[in-house]
Formats: sequence, structure tokens, C-alpha cells
Amino acid sequence: MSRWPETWSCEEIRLHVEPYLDGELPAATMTRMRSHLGGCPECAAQVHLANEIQNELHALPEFDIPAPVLQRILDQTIRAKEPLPTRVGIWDRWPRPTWAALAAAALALALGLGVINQPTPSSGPEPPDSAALAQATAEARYALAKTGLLTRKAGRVLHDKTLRDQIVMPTSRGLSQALGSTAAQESGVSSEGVDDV
Amino acid sequence: MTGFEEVVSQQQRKVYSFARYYLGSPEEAEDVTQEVFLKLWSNWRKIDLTSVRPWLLRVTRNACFDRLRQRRSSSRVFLPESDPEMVESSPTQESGPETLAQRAAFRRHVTQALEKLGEPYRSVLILREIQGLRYRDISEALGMPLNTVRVNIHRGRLQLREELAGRYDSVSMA
Amino acid sequence: MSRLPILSILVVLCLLPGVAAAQFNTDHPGYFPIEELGIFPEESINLEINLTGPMIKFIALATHEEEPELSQLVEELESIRVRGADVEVIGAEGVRSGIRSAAQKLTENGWTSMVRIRDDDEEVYIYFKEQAGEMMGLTVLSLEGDEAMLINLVGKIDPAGLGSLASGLDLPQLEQAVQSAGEKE
Repeated sequence: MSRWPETWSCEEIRLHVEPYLDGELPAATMTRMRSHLGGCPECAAQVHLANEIQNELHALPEFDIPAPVLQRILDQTIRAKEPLPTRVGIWDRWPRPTWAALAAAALALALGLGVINQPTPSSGPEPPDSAALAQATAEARYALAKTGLLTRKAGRVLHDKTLRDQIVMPTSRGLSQALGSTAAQESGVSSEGVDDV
Repeated sequence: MTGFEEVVSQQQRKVYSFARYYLGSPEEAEDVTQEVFLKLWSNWRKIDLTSVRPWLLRVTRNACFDRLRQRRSSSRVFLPESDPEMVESSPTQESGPETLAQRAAFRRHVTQALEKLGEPYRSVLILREIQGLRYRDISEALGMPLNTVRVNIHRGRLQLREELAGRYDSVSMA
Repeated sequence: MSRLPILSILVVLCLLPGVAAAQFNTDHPGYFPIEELGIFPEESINLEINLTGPMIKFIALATHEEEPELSQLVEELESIRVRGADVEVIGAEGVRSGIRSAAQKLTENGWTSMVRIRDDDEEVYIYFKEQAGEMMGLTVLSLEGDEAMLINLVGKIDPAGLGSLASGLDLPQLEQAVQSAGEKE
């Protein structure tokens, strides 16, 4: 059970300054505190300081993230146009075989069985469809961004300044610059996401 | 604008500002913000959008806390610099260069004192006193009961006052 | 009815050569088998990225005009592989011990440690493989909070080139550092 403020020491009064300022003490306690403060300049000064601190905190601004960082975030995510896969299935590991590809496979089988005597098309990697390519580009960007962030973060806590300055920071800086950072923008390089090919 | 872009656009200010005040470094705050939104992206399908802000603030706070611990465990001495944008953007009503200088100094000392606070006081003060979140939102973001939020806000401000009382002759300030 | 399974098997057999072609050279010095470490049980994996060979070249081509730095970086790579897992499913201690064993294997296989961080709920190891003065691979083993990630970039990674691409930085010390790592072997 609380004691009334008139039995509190100045030290105890000062511990209750913040709830007093917020009007969160019981009404009777608020009245008694007010009465004490009227006659105690030291405690009143503490209330004044607390008030100044709160006013200052309230006046502190919020900030928008710098535009290049925002661009980088969007380039690595939504502007890649494909959602980042969570669990990637087998068909996401290489270009998704369309029915045409399956038909080509069946054709190859048929040739192998000697059913159709036709030359096969010359081999070489099939260009992926645009959706698969956009997906893969998003994955590459994500992986490199993550690597860049981890090296950058790790670089800050490195004990060995030489190693940090000579290897880690340039590598992470380079990775983030390659992915369209401020420096890349200043050099006039676009960091737009890949349009459908 | 897609749903994700909209969320980024609406929430980036809260996320970035929190990180900036927490870490005292615009550069680290940028990294944390990037991390947080990449994490949002990779969890996009699982997120309940009605409580995306508390989710984001919780993830931001955890990322900032991790960075702070790394700093502390490092032998490198980290001196939080005064963020010039914070100090200079004071909408003071007083006139006169001496008063302005005093206000700027006071602001600098308040933000430095904030960066010395431990948890959970640093988080709750940033969320409540700087960013103006409601107690309920802070409770959800930090996973803290409502009354505990209130108590921690008061204790945090008390610690700031104790930190600054040594520097400021509180009688002459009145 | 009995023809359908036979046809399916035949189709799969036809695709196998394509499968083999899509894989890459696991003898590459920068290759590290992050998939075979056994750190992440199947049910815990929430992220898999496998970009190899032809797909990487297509990415480099596709980004050549609009993102030349990305294109150039990717073009020199043979593969980009990532595995991510939810630590809550596996348990942090299991991940931690798996990551440490993997770091040990990297060291034993001639990889050079770039960074090692150990903290209460965070461990990050970043290694690179040097060959003839060039960085031929980068491996990241990371445990941060509830997220664990393994990354292996295989191929020629030019940190000095990366640094100088956009900002004009000259980093002779970096090349020297990579070279010194080679001289130690």
C-alpha cells in the first residue's frame, strides 16, 4: 500500500515525477505532489527537467529512408516481378519444361527407338521462358544482396582492421554497388528490375 | 502499386526512424531497414497484414538489438556520433543564437542519453515518445503487457532524467 | 492404364541428359557442397536457390543493358546456391554445431577465413577460395536469430573489380591480400 506523498522524501517524490507528469497517479496523490512541488524548488526543477526531456523527445523528427536504399529494396523484391520462392520445387531448379519440351523429349525417345528417322535439332541450352528468367534473376539478386549484407555487417565487428578494410568492406561494398546502390546511381547506371525478355 | 510496395512505402519511415534512433547511425539503420524488408518479402505469404506494423517493429528491434550486442562484444570502441539531422531539425520557438545553441546542445544530450539506455527502455521510449505509438501497439510490437509498457516508459524517462541531471543544473533550467 | 507409368518413366529418362547438362562442375575449386552438409533436415528448409551454368549466363545477358555491374558480377560465376532454414524447427544448437563443423571442413579444404563471428545467438563464417591469386569461390555460413543460411558462390569473384566498378576505387591492397592468402599454401 502506498504511503501518502507528504511522508515521502524528496528522493521518493522524484521517482514519481514521470507518472505525475502523465497524470497517472491517483487523484489524491496528484494533489499532494502538487502541493509538495509548490514548496520545494529542487523537486520542482526535476519536474521541469522531465518536462523538457519529454518535449524534446516529442519534437524529434522521423526520417524517410534515403531514396537509393528504398530503390534497392524494391529492386531486390517486388521489381524482380516474381515472388521469391520459399520452398523451391524440382521444376524451379532449371527452366520449367513446357509441354513442347516434353514433346521434344518424346521425339528424342522416338528417334532413339528408331520409330522416326529424322535428325534431332542441334543441341545447346534452351533459352528459358521470361517468367523463369525473371524468377532466376530475382533469386540471384537476393542471394548476392544477402551475401553483401552479411559481409557488411560482419565487417563492422571485425577485430582485425586490416582484414576488414582490405577484403571484407570492399567486397560487401562492391556487392551492394553492383546491385544498384547510390554509387551506381551516381554513375548513371539504372538499377531497374529486369523487364520481361 | 502492389501490396508489398504499399506496405514498404507506408512503413519505411517507422522502421528506418526506429533503427536510426536505436543505433545512432544512419548507415547501420539503412542496413537494418534493408534486412527487415527483405525478411518481410521472404515471409510475405505468411504475414497477417492487419498486424504488419507490429511485426516489422519487432523484427527491426531484434535486428537492432543484435547489432548493438555485436558492438559491445567487439573490442572496437564505438562512439555514437551526433546525428546532425536530428540536432539541426529542432523546431524551436525561442530566438537568439545562444538559445538556439543551448537547445541544439540539449537535443544532442537527450539523443546521446537515449543511446545509452538499456532494453527495454530504449525501445519503448523510441516507440512512444518519438514515434507516438499507442500503448496497445507497443505492447503488440514488443510482446509486453500493457501495464509493463507504461511502467517501462516511466522508468526509461526517469533514467534519461538521471543521466541528464548530472549535466544540467536542473534548478537553473526551471 | 499400364502405359501411363511406362511413358512417364521414359519421359523422365529422356530428361536425364538435360538434367546432367544443367548441373555444373563440382570439381571447381570454389565449389562447396552446402547441400550435403546435413545441417538442415528437409522439413526445415524454407529457401532453396540453385542457379547454375546456362541459367547464370542467361541472367548475365538479360541484365547486361540495365544492370551492367550485376551482369558482370554474375557473368563470371558458375553457380549461386543458397539454402535457408527455420532454426526453430531444427534447434539453434544443432545448427550451430553443424555450421562449426562446416567451417572446419572449409579450413581443411584450403579455404581462407574472411570473417568469423560468434555471439549468443549469432554465428557467421565467411570463407573464400583462392587460386592463382584470384578469388574462385565464396562461402557464407550464417546463423542469425531464427534464420540460418548457407551460401556458396562458385566462380571468379573479383573484389577489386567489384569495388572499382561503380566508385572508381583502386584497391591494390585487396589484390595483395588475396595473393598473400595464396602464398601461404
